[in-house]
Amino acid sequence: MFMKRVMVCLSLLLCVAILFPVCGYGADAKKIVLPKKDRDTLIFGAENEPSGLDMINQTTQGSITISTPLFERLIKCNDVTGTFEPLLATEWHWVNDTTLALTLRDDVYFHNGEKLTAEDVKYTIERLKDGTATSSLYSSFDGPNSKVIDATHIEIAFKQPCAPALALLSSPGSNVVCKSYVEKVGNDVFARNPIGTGPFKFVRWDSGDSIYYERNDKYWGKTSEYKNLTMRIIADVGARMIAVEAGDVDITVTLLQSLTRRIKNGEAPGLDYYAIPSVYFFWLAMSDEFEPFRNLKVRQAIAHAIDTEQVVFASYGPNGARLSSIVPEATWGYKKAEPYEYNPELSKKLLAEAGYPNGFDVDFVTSEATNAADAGEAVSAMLSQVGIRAQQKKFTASNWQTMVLNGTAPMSFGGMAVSTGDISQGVAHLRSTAPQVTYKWHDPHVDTLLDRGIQEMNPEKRYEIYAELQDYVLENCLDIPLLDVYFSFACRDYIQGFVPHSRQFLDFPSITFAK
Amino acid sequence: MIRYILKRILMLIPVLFLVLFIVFTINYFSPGDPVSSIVGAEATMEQRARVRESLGLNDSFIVRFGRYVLNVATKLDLGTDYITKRPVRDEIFERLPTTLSLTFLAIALASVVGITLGIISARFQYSIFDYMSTLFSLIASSMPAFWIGLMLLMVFALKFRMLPSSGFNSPRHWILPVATIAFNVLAIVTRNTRSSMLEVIRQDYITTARAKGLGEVKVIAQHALKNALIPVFTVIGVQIGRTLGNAVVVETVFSIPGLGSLMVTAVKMSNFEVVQGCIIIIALSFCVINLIVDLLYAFLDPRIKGQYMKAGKRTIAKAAKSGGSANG
Repeated sequence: MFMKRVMVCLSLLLCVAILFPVCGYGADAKKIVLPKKDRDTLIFGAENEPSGLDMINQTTQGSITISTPLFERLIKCNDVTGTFEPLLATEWHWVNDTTLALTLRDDVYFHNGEKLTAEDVKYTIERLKDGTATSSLYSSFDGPNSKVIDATHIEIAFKQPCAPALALLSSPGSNVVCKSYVEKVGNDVFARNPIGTGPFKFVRWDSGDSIYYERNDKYWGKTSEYKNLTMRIIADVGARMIAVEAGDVDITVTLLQSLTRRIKNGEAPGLDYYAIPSVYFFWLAMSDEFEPFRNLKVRQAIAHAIDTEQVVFASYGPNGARLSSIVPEATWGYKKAEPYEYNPELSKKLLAEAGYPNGFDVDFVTSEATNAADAGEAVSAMLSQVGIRAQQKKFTASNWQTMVLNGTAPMSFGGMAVSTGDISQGVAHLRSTAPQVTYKWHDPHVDTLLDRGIQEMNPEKRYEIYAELQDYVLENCLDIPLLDVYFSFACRDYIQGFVPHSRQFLDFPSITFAK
Repeated sequence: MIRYILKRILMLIPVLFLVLFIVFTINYFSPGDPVSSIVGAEATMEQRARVRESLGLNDSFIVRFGRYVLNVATKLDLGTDYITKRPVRDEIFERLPTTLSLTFLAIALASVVGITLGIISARFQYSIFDYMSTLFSLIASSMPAFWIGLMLLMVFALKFRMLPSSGFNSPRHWILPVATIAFNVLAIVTRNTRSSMLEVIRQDYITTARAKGLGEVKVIAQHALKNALIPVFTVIGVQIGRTLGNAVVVETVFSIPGLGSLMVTAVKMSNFEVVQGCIIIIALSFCVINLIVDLLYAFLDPRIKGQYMKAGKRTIAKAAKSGGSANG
């Protein structure tokens, strides 16, 4: 009798456990099961789950890759030549310094069947001012005064001359959206149930697990050979590496150093390695609200105390490269510069001349993310060798951002992705009115150059302005460039046609499975 | 018995309130600003201020706590996810079945295997099997769940390609994460069953049973097991709470969209509403599971059922006495 009761209890326990996944709260009875890994489904192992797919509010790393299959911009930037090419707009010209006229394609439809018109483009421009990721970047755009000429012609107005306008129109923040759909469902629903004009359409989002797309057979351009595209969210980097090695995902991004070395050495059969210098970079930021950092000699001492090659080795290894200028090479406006010489003795001499012969103490705040933490340890150790006792303090990404914002981080890493590909975004943090207290500098000359660079419409003159800015920043050590991160990918060897992109705009339709 | 159950259910309220108060206080005074996670680095100061105001983050502690408690008590509203703008309740209940399933499967596996191994170890004390079982328990209880998970992944998913490396969509996906969690619990259950059985099989009534000519299996199953398993069930009940905690780590390793991974992400993003909601639900789950375990004792052992019923009657008698005294 007793054993019978025990067996009943255990059986109940087992039944409850098995039934839970089947009877999940709020789930449809016909929940989509992960598609079998076959040649009709491409599975991409993504590193982060975005909070939504509306790019005007999205800054999560990797979100561009996830949203790219669904949306399109007016213009695209050729990753090799850096020239702007047609996408939803077939041609464009400047009417005057504050008006850009564009002609749209006449054969584009949103995923709900509605035809793309200039009204949708105007609506897209108008909503940029409300986006947390776009309001500052697109502040020159004047949506209300933009004119719809007819269904395929629009004139976009600007509040002032905007030299990076084409770069901004080629960026994910300006993904063209369907006006009627967004107005009907609202921004929050749109972010979780998006529609666009892209080669794939949204099917379903299983929070914390995967986002499912399927091929848009009515797409105006080249469509994929495979039908389904799955964005599998695997936040833990170790688990993601195992997933691609085990073949559970076909492609993954942001590799560990160890896997990169193994693939390059031929120790990971079945995997191919791809990497491209990206627009994502790091620098060492020093707040001008901290007394010692106002002294040029102190900043120069710090610059000469850091062996950047070792910092790269410690953090990203083969997936990074030393950066000597203030923006990555993949950015328009980049000017090659000589890196600071690693010279600890010179560093000590400069510190003594600055009045700190015994160094000083400073809080060095970094994110707890592995790469940043490792790089921080390397920098901290190097600075301590010259007498600067940089106490590394690691925080969650959210806390770290808050401290950089309110200036309670006297020294930190700066890191950003220049998603527009234009230098104006990469140097905006230097402006005296920038929100991040740790990054900005109260230097009128810098502000003047930044203003001139944004408004100079002649590319050659514009380049010279930013070249002058870069020289000034480097001579005065306002930022100490550290490294350029590579976008690194591991693909199963049956994947063909994969081409990495410096700004994460992966061309998924061009990917095929080997026959 | 019903009164006992009701009393235990009513006790949940002050417990959950206390948990909520502690969590809310910690969240409120923790450094970190969820607004940074919501708006990102490019947002203007005006946008940040607007978001802070809309989320009520400028209100005082008392106002925010009172509002939260009222919403929970009256509408079962656990707040809104700052990042996704979805109700926290919906997000939690989408993921809770996965975590509970992971937990219960692990407990079931660990219980069945652990009790079996413990019984055999006790019956054949000092044999090779007993030593192997002891060694296994020592190793399994020493290894952290995270490491066990990665090792199982490397062997079964990577080297032999027998099982998938991530997800929780099908029974094949369940095997590795369940085994990972079950390892530690299995070790503890085995050791406790062994020591409990050893104590019981040395009792006089067991000797009597053997002397009567009963087979060994009957002696163990019908006489020894009953008394030996009561403390083991206590241990299993306690382990359920620990297993819920291990689920957080295991969900991260195996990319399982459960409550644990939701909470880890929320902590990193300073998404306080989600953190609070998750902790309340975990605390509630833990209390309910403990209650069910306690009731299982009554189901398994009539003496304990009698105690629960006596406790209920004593409460009624006490109430009647104090009412009688007041009336003179």
